[in-house]
Amino acid sequence: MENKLQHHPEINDKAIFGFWVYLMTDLIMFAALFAAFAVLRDNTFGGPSGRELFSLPGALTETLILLTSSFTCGLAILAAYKNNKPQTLVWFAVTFLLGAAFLTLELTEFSHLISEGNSWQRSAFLSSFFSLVGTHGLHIAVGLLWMLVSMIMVWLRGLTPRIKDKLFRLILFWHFLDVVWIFIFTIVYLYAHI
Amino acid sequence: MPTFKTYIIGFILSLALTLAAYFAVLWQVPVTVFVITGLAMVQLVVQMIFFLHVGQGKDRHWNLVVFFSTLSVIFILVAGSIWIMNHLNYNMTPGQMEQYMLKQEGIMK
Repeated sequence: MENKLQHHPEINDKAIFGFWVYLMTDLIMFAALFAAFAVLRDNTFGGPSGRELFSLPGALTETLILLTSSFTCGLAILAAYKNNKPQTLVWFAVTFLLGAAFLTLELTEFSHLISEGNSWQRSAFLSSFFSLVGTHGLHIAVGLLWMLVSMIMVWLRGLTPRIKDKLFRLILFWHFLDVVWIFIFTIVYLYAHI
Repeated sequence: MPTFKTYIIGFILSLALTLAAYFAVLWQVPVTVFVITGLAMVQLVVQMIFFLHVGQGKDRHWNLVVFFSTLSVIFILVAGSIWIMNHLNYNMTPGQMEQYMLKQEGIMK
């Protein structure tokens, strides 16, 4: 019975469709945070604006790291479809390290802002900034945890059809976070320097 | 289904679009806002096709239906918020909101 289920293509597609619907609802939540940021970005309450706070090279570095990690997780799923277990694990490990590097840079930026007195309590602009970018960072952290668990699963159980389905949903999630980040990079960081 | 080729094309295009947006801001090209917004939109489409594989596979019809209805919700949410809040701002004399907030919060300035 278990085996029959796994080889039934419809179940696989329905699970992916369900996951896609989840991603779309997540996108609506991000849209609400983007709307809040768009409305509040000029309400600095006499405090520093984005232009004074955000460094463009720093944001570009984060963007390039996340984009590369999106590419390497694609390579991981391709290796998984070719039933190449060592390669799958290596590419997921690379993706994990890049994601961890991204999160480290982001948290460094946050702690830098907070240590200079520019936390979310400083102004409505900074509240909306921390809500938006922090929510994305939280998603990245959850994604990293998920990736770690998936790697252990691949390591222990091998690349069964069921695990490949799970890996496919993981990389969809990871690509999705990269798409959201493009808009954070543009609307939060690039718009601040126009 | 994804292949190595689609991933490498998607990666190179995304890299080029990201760097283009970055230098557009650095060099302050004319109408920068529209240029970088346009570049972000193009990159959205590129990643949707080459990374997220939207519109490929069996349930593509329903994936797209959900995607476009989500886009319409997002449009109403974002455009509506900006419109309403700017309109509120426009109807108040300068500083009125700040004074009101200071009074409500009991902050002396």
